[in-house]
Amino acid sequence: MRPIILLALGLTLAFSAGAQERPLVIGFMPYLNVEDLIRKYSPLAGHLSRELGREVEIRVARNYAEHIRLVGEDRIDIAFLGGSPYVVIGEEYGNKPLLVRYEFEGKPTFTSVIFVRTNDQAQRLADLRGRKMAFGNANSTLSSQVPLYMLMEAGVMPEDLARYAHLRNHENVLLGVEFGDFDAGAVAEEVFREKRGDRLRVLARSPEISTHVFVTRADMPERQRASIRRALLDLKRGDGEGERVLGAISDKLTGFVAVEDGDYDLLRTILDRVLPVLQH
Amino acid sequence: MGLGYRKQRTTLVIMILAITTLFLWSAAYFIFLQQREQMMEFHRSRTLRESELIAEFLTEALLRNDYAEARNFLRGWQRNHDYVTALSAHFDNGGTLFSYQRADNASLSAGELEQVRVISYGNRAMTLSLSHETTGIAMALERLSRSLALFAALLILMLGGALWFVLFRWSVKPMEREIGRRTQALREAIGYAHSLLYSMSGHIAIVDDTGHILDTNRSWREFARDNGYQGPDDMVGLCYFHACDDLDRLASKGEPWERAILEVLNGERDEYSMDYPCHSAEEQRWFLMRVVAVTYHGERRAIVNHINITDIKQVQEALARSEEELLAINRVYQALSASNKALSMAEDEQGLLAEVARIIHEDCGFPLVWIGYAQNGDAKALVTRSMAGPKTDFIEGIKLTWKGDDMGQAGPIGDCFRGGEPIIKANCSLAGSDDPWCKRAFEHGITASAAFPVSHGAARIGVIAVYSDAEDAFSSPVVALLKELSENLAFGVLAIRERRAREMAQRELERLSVTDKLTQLYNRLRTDTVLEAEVGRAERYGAKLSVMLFDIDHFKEVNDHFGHQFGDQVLVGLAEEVRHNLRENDVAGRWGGEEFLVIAPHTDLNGAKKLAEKLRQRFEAHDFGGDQRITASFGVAEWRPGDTSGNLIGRADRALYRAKNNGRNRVETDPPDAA
Repeated sequence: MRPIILLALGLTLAFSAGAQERPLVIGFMPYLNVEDLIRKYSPLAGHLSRELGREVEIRVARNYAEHIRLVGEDRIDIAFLGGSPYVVIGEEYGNKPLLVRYEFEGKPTFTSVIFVRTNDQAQRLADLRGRKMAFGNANSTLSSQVPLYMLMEAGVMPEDLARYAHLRNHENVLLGVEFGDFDAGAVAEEVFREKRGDRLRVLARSPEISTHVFVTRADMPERQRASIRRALLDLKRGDGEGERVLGAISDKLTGFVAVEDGDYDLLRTILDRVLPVLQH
Repeated sequence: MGLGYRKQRTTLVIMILAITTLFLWSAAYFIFLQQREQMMEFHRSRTLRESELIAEFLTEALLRNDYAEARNFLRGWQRNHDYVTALSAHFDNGGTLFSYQRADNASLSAGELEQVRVISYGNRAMTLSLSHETTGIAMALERLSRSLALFAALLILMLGGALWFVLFRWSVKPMEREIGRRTQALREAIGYAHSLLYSMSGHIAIVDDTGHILDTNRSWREFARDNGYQGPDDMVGLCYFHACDDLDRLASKGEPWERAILEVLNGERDEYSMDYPCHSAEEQRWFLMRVVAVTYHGERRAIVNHINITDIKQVQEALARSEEELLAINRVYQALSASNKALSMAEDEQGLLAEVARIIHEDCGFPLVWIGYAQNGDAKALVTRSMAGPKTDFIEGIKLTWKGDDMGQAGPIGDCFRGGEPIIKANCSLAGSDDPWCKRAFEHGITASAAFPVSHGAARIGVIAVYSDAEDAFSSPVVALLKELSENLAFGVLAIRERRAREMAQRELERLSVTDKLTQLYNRLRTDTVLEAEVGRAERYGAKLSVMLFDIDHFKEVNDHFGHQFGDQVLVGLAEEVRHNLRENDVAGRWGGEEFLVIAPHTDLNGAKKLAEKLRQRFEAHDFGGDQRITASFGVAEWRPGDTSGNLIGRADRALYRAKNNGRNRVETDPPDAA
């Protein structure tokens, strides 16, 4: 029951008691469970609150669609978005002003991989024709959209596969292939690297895809947006505050870096290609 | 005695206590085992139930491909149930979804609380394995039961030792008493055996394996003394064999009975028996030696028993003699029945005689059988008709007669025929050597003979003589059978003669019925039959066939002039010419008074005409006496398809008519221009 209560309450950090404005809201889609999200991002919220002199509140949407709607309607001050939602929202509501993007282990991009079991005969993506393929959530950039694009580029349409399924998460994709229910799967390269074991091998690797971003409401004053960007860009591994805040979010997160809309052009191309197929 | 009793009572009390304790322990152990089993049953059913539950959840998750959830569930289950000692889930391709093994394996015994089940989803399968520990009580019970079992084993060991000790103590004294009793019984048995040995009528000696006598019985000693033995009375220590110093040589070169006894002694055979004659000056005696092995105090000995079997032997020999005699009778009887069969089937007399001689020789085994016929007249000779057997040279040199005593030479055969009674010479070897006939027989290896007259009623035909190389071969049953045989032979010979006579009469009758009495040619009836048959043959096979009719010219005038007797003479003469000049297959018959028909098969008209011409010339040249030239006219015709015998004869008749008209003494054919 606790996650649901927290979802309604949010978290208040009353560092600057004197501030009279309403709290600044950081919104997330539920890509992890609520409890985990709050635990991961509370230090960041605390950091921003201190830097901006305002209360900062974490809000987690009930689902992806709600998050997209709230962000699109400028009802979230600072919003976490995956690359794809960013592109989708931009197309539907107009581009939201970018703050920073994530940098993992010094790279502001990540890739996804299509993998098979170590002893599988497949050598190229085209060999997956007539095989069984596992994807992650249909909305997931790295485990569904990008790999489907890779397949299509290699000339394999979904209907060319013997079977394909969208599993609940990356781990299921890995296990589904390892246990033999599927011949190939697609997950984020990072996940694969952490968990693959020696029973799986990479068949193909995607191009670099720009990481997650933080955006602001479209109507936020530019000065405030700059303060927030500054506060985020200042976080560095190695200094006490940065280490604490970044470390809480992810071991691999090395900081937030500058971003521009053009970083997502590749993703736009990909989504143009795959979304009609996925929605179909 | 009092002390012993107290000791026994104490031992008894100890034993009762021990047995009670053992019983109580056993009962307790049994109860513990039962409790433990119930506990185990509870655990087993819980493991089963929970493994079912887990399997159900896993199936549901796997169908959704939600491996992470399945893994989380297993992990959660393992964390929430502290009695789980092992939990694992493996896919059929070797993949491991989850695997847990508790470090301290407190499970009662491996596999006892393990549930393994296979979960199928789609066409895949996963093996789920779940193990539980048992509770502390069950463990304690298990440990207890083990120590109980150990204790019980120790107790049984101790109790067994005590029991063995007590039983040993209790049983020594009775055993000594028993030994004394048995020793006494053994002495009695030995005495009994000795008395038995001494009372036996057989001559018994016991021989050891060195060939020396160990003991003898009374009847042995008496027999030895009666036969001149003068050594030590009981003969103990003497060598039983011819010599005992080299038994090996004896075993290979000794007498058969010595070898046999040695074989009994060294175990190659268990017993041996042999009967042998042992005649003394006064009487003929036979003995049976029976050798039986006996092992006494681990040493092999032989009991040699000689039993007087003279009485049995004599009876046996008499029996054998009568059997032989019976055999001889049987053989003669067999010969009799075989010869009777030959009689009934005989075709000719000489064959019958040879057959009967052969039967008597072969069936009865007599080395010589002779059958001869008597001749009347001055010589009164007996001539050989048949002989069988290897000793024929005995009789071949002898001139046999039945003249009688005027020459003093008549042997048994002659005597037999003259007297009409069998003559038996039973034993030529013992009979006086002054009988010259018997002497000659003995020189030829013949020791007995018998002669039987072959006669039936008034008909006296000859003699059968039978010779034997065995003495007394002709017992009275044998003689009776041979006598019957010779009578039967006479009957058979007469029957054959009778049958021959009748057959000849029959043939003559037959000849007469188809022959013309005067000319001896076929008569009209027979000629007709032959003609019909030949016409039939010509029709069937298309063979050639010709006939000629001829008639004596002016026969009536011949008869009137010279008389009927001359006429008959002419007919006979012509018939003679015809018979001499016809070919083998031609048939001639008297057709009418002075008319003849010749049937010539396989002959065409031309050939028949030539034959007719030849006959005509022969007739013309024949001298009938009385200066009378006799001629005949011939009509010849050849059979044509469709001709009946009547047609054929009719055409020949027409040709004959033409010959008569054209001047007689000529041959005409039908058709006339054929020649």
